[in-house]
Amino acid sequence: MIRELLLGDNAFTGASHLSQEKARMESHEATLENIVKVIEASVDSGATGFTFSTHPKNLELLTHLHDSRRDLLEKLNYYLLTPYVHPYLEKAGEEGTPALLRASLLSALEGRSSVVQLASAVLSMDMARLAGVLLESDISPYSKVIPRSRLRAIFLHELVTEMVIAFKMDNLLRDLDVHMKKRTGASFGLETRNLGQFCDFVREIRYVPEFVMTPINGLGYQMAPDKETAETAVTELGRSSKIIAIGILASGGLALHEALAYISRFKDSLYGVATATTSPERARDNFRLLAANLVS
Amino acid sequence: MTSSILSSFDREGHRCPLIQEMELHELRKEKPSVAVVGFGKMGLLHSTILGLLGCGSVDAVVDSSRFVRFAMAKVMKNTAFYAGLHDLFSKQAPDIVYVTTPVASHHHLLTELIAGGIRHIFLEKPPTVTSEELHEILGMLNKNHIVMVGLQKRYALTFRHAKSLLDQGIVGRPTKTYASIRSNAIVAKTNRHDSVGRGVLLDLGIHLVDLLAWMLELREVVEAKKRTMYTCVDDVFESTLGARNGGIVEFEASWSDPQYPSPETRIEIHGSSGTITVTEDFVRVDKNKDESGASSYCRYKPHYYQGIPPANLADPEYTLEDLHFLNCVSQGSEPATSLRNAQETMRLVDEMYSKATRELHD
Repeated sequence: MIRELLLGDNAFTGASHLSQEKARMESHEATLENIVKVIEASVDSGATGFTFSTHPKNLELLTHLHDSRRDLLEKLNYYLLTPYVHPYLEKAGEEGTPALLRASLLSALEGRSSVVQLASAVLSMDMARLAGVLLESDISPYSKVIPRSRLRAIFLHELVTEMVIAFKMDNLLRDLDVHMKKRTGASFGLETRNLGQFCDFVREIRYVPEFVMTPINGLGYQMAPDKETAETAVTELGRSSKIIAIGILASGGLALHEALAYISRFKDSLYGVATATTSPERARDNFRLLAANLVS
Repeated sequence: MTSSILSSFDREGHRCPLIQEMELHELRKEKPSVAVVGFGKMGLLHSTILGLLGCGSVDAVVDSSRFVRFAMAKVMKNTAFYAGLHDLFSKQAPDIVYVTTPVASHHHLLTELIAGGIRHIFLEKPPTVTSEELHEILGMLNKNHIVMVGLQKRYALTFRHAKSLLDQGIVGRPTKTYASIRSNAIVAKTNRHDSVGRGVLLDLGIHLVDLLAWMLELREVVEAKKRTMYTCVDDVFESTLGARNGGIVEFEASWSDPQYPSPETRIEIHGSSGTITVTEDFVRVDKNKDESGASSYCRYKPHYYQGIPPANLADPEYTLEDLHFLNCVSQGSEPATSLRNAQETMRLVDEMYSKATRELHD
């Protein structure tokens, strides 16, 4: 049963899985004023939430809503994706993994609230706890502006999730799940672009994720190991986890009516559907159609 | 006409030939033991892809940083961590070694690996600092060695499609090509590259040189210029290159362009009857006006990667190159980007550096 229609943030932060050319174009359109119009149009047309990464542009947006448009801010549920990996990858690429680890610790220290937690995690050499403190530090500025009761779930970014699967870090996963729920009061979820492997992994370790976010579209774009296996995984996981479908338009490879026809097949297995745009008109059209066809 | 040719690739091409040649389940059965040397961004990337594919088991990691070894060993319980190759060889005998360290260490590491009896090596780009180093390594190899260079752009389906269209003569004879590769990796002062003595051309531009050598058969370096902005080496490199049949290529590589948060490669090939434009994200064909009128066609990434590759992490070409490498190891065949095949690319890089006598200042 689909309960949430979510506005995604890719178009706001200059990310596109279609092309970098499109991302550059959209980033010019993604002014604060225009994004607010997109949010207004989305909410008016049936959007119930916002799913976003801890990109600095999103903090700017949410702070603006907090200060000037509290009415709009309080109409949405929030699904937060952490960590925002781009600067971490840049650091690792530029100066290597030791520099990345050092920078992560320093960045956590700057988020003062976690100093005691961080020191305790470092001294106890508990890597899961340390990872939890780093994630907390990453989301800390956002949780200060989002209404607490509206923060529904915190998702682990796909790059971290895929590492957890690849290296079978089940202990780290379980510890992070407990840590994040306890420290934030929100649910814990995982984002993946390898749903088939993800499904095998959680089945093997007998872990039931509360939330899963993953691309689901008729082209099979970013569905691994292949479209059919990922479809089977949606049905299996949908029995016990809340699945949020992203990339339903295959990053622009499909028209909305095609996406709807496909995604409707999984209505009973999905909890939410997300879509993104920088156009208020398109936001209005898309959410009206999604609401009319998927939410009943 | 353009449309029908693209459609024909649709039928065959999006069922990627690279995937078709591989029997994934067979590779999974073999599950070679893998060691990764250098656990930075690229080491993590390849290790994670191998784990997701289920085709190789990363049993060992070699990294000189005690901090990395300590932290990673805490969470990667099934992997052994070593400070150097000597420690690795004393405890394990991996079937495959991935070398993902900075280029300055490649010559030395490869020499040690070959002496240590390792036959299957994946080497991140650039393979070596110079052609001379590369030739020395090649001299140590025998027919049983499979050494592949991580020039992954060649495995991107968009570039493969563009090459196929070019070979079919869709735009006629290539006359002029504009090619660039840009990123914003270096937009502040750094001395990290000083010791290597070579900059963006070797580190990033090598991808473009490799693609152009493969697609257009580059023959000579006509002119080369380099510009220093943030390092003591080349931050921007421009060159005019001569291709087969007299075609001219205008080349630019920059790692200091703030407009490009992710590296982007763009090749625009003007032929006698049209233009092909290709990046990692799309292929566009614009046919010149003839008796049937002008036509153009564009296909984006979601079209090419439908249900493939079987593991999604970063750009799809990384998984495709890993699959190609594993398949070559399994079949005992030579990779498309083998160390041997990278000779021509490195020869061109050397020639471009040697001709870049005129320093451009920003």
